[in-house]
Amino acid sequence: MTMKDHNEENELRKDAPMLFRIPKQDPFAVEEGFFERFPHEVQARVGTPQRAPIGIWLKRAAFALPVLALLVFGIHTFTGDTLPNRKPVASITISPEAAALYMASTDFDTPELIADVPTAEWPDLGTVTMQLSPDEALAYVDLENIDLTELIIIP
Amino acid sequence: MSEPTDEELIALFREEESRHYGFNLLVRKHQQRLYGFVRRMVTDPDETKDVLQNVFLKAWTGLEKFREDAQLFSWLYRIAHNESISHLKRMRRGLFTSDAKVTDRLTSSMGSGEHFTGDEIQRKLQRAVMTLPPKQRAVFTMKYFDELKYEEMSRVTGTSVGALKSSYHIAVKKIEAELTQGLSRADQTKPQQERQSNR
Repeated sequence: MTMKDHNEENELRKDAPMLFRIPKQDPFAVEEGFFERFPHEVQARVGTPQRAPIGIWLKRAAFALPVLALLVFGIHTFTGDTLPNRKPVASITISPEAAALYMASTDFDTPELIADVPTAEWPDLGTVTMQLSPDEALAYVDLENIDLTELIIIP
Repeated sequence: MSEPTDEELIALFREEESRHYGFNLLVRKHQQRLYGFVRRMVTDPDETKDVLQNVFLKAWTGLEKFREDAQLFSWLYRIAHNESISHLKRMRRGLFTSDAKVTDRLTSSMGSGEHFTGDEIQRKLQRAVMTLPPKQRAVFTMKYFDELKYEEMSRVTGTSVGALKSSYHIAVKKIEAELTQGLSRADQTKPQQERQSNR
């Protein structure tokens, strides 16, 4: 035993007295003839080309495909453009100052600005559903001068 | 007939006509020591056999590129170390569970005398070893049971000698604590059992 080994042994005796007292043994049983057969078993395996078993890939695919489907669905739901595709009706490029001057020189409101565009070519602005309280609904009807009789639908 | 040296085995392996013969001799020469290490790492005999077969299959593939200046046993031991740890990781992933559950499954074979011939204190020691995380278990097994030098362990694990010393020291402390706890638990249950038997 070298000096180094002796030191290590003393250290073990001091740090772990219970472990130090346990005799070092190999308590694992090996079935009879195992080491006679084993080299032949290895030899038999090295003789055949190794391929990844198909079962592993099937298991991986069975796990990965639903996860992928969920991911695609999630991305589509949460980040996809849910508004319809809108193409610009017409486009011109002017400076902000020129735009401000133009808007100031006209009294156009939005319907007037798109009045020249045929109705069929109007962009699809979608439908807006609003929840109004009875007071707000009455104020809207009053503001827009809506004839309430027009709203009555006779089946 | 004397046992062939590692250099002779490698020379036999490198000749096409003696490759299988040389490899067979190589497996015969190193299988028992590597088996001992892998068995202490994974405990279960069937799992040990699978891991050891993979070790030698990898050796077969890599032996062509093996550098003569390295020690063959250290190289094989390194493969066995990596394969054992990978196997334990794969088991944990496959069972979707923790290291503790994997250990429970692996140590179940220790309950039968067919696979484990040690006495109660040996059983306690092995269970304590199995509570260590795989890499620490490997360090403890290499140093305590296989009595490898730290420099050799460093070549096997690719870890610095300082880190290995520290890891071994922690492992020893943990095992001692586990053994002491196990003993105090046994002492607590003993009087209870005695009281019950007296009734």
